Amino acid sequence: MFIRIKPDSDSPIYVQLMYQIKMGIIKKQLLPGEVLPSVRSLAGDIGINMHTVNKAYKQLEIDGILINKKKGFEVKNTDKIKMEDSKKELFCLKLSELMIDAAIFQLSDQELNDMEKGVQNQLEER
Amino acid sequence: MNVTTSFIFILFILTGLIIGLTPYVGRKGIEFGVSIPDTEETHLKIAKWKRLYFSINMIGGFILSLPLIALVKRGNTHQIQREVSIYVTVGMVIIILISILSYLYIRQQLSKLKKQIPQNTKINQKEIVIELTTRNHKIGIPNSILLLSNGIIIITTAIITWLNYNKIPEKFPVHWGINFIADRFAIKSISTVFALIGFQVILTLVFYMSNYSLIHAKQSLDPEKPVRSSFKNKAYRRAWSRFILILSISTQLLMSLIQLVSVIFYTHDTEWVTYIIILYTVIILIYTIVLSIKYGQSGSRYKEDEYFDKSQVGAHRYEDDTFWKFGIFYYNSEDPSIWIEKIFGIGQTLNMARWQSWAILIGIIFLVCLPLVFL
Repeated sequence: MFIRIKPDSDSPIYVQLMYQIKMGIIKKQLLPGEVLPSVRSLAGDIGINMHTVNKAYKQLEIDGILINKKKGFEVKNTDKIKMEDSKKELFCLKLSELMIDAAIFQLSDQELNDMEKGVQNQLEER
Repeated sequence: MNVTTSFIFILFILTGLIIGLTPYVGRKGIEFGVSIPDTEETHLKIAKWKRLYFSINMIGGFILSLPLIALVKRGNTHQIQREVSIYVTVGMVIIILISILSYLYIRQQLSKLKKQIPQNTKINQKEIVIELTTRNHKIGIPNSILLLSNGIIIITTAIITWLNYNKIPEKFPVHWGINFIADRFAIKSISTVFALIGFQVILTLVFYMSNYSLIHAKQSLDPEKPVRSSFKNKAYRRAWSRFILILSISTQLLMSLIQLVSVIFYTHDTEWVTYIIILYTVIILIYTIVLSIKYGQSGSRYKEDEYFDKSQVGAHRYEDDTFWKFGIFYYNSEDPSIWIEKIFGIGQTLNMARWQSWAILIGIIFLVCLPLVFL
């Protein structure tokens, strides 16, 4: 599985990393029980600070997507990955922010549809 | 000219040739330490710069080999032999200096030219792509096999030496002149008899480190063709790791042979050993050249067209020119990697922003100086 990071992007690297890992799980490129590379090894390959990778792993652990075991961070069984009620509030906030932006910048339904399809394709492509 | 001198003569020319060919085996998209977009290669006359570098180093090697002929023509005394061996060291240093200076000059010129390229045509590589699961695949020969095979040879040699310790003469040769005649001797003692074996242990560490750095070097994949460049890179790592294993075993066997011939079963007829050393050097050199040409740095030259679409070429990487000081030293304090694939030439280099890199360097210098203390 390949991970893509844009160092110059506005989105923080640890967030990009989190979503790349989430996407790998959705695409079944990362399987339940699979152990992710060590923090040092992954940070070395990307060429970023170890704290950044650690932050991403830790956040994914808090979100209930990874489990921190002795041998490293492991992907949780997909059936057991559920959004907690407390997280739903934040999710709703993010969604409302997007909808507010869509409304104030007057994005057409067509534009929004295209964007959604684009993301959907990304999730389905092998 | 005798065999050894003509061998040194050829070695000079070969060194010039190998250095001159370096730009041809480097990564695609990075020339003389400067990231160059594919589209600009013709515009910047990359081929011309490569030819210039090749000519400078080839001619340099050739000219520097000439004084050898003059030296040898004056006779074959001890004095001249010593001068030849001093000249070999000096000449090699000059060859390396020429290669560094010509590299820096061309790099500077290319950087200047690159600044003139309009922004929009510059390399569009704002992404770092890495393979997440690579570490779980075993790339290359495991270090355990390397250590085990080398260890067996060394231990066997040590045991043979120990069992024959009483037979070893009070004085045995440790250095031979250009003409196979022993000219320096050591007085028998545990430390002198086992010195070569100690050296073999040091060599094992060097091989271990080479293999380790090859297996563990930071990934650098082409963001546009990650699958392909990962495939090439793995093939490259596997091939060189195999080479390190073969090199280490043959070197250890050679050292053991020298130990047996010079220390234990000392004979005056050592000419054949010299031929074996020359043969060994030639084979290793040819092997190195073949691997370099076949795989290129990071596998960029490796042809695997049966698996992939031919329209894709290259093994680019994320543009990190700013971390390469003088286009030679990698310095990135954010990057926890210690070993990095070189930007110019083939092989790995150290991230000088890490203390471990300095520890490795000091360790190497210490190991090199160790024999000076003991002998």
